[in-house]
Amino acid sequence: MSKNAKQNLADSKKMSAELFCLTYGSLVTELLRDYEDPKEVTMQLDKMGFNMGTRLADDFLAKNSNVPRCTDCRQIAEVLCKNAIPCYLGTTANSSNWVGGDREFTIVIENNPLNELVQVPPNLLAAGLSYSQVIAGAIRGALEAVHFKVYATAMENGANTEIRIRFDSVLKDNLPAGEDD
Amino acid sequence: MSIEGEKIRMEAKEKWGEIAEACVDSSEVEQYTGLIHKAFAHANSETQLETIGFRVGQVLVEKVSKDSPKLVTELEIVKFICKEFWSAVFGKQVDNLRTNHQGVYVVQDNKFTTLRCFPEGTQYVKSSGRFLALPCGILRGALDSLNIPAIVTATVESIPAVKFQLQIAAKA
Repeated sequence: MSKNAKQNLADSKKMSAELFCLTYGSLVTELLRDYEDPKEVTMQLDKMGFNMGTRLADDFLAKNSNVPRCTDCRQIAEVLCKNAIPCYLGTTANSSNWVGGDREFTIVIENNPLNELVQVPPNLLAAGLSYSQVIAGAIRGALEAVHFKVYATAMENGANTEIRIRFDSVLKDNLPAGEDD
Repeated sequence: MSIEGEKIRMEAKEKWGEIAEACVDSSEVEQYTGLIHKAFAHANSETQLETIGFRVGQVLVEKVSKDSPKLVTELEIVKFICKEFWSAVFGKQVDNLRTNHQGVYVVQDNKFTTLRCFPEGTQYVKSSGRFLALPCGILRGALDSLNIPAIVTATVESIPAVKFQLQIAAKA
């Protein structure tokens, strides 16, 4: 292990990237064994990501008090690329491919840490497994926790991972029963 | 999980499938409890987490021990696990290591990483087991890769202190 990584570990908030990606790889293997259908595994990963995202949103906002309230998709994309993804994945990301009046965009995560140390068999990818779907799920969950409904899908692209995000609507607070607006 | 174990499980499952068709009375089902356990044992979450951890530990120890000097004795290996491996994986060294010199090692970590976000004390001791299955698997996998088959169990008296017991199988 490099010296740099060791120093990072001394800070108790950081953890070994190898442990993270190996555990994730092992988890996906176990899911594949359990469900026997790569498409179903992708769905489960998305669900897990969603649950992680709703909690991560709290953690993220608690740690980054300087993040402003987002009012449009460009701002959401900027916070995701500049703050959230570097904070949790330790890598950089860029947004591009804006279409549909800024309602749909792609985030490219460079050197996706989940893809380190693993080789995903091409036949599984062809059968519908999206290995990094957990990230897409987490983004969906985190944004839902701050009242933005989006659809997100992950696509592998060599060492990089592309996440396509489509903005759906702004969620409203639930009104108490019996009160209409 | 071995292929052999999987085979036994599948056979038990098939047999249970046949029996379940014929069973009408619930008292009849009770006779086959052992078979049911055999067929569905794998679904236990702790076992699955342990299996995941085992695979992680096996690979991770190779990465960590790449540059370390040759480890010869059992004690050296356990010490390596407690120092280098522990700090690379769990972020700190262990606080205490004891042994009876007959293959049983007790490793104590007073602030274990997976229990750090629990409230301290005894309130959640019962539900902490699930959070220790993965690290137990990691340790077992690491020891296995260093050619020491062992049984690893964890005990918690008060969160976040954990005692891991490494029970090393006697060499034949």
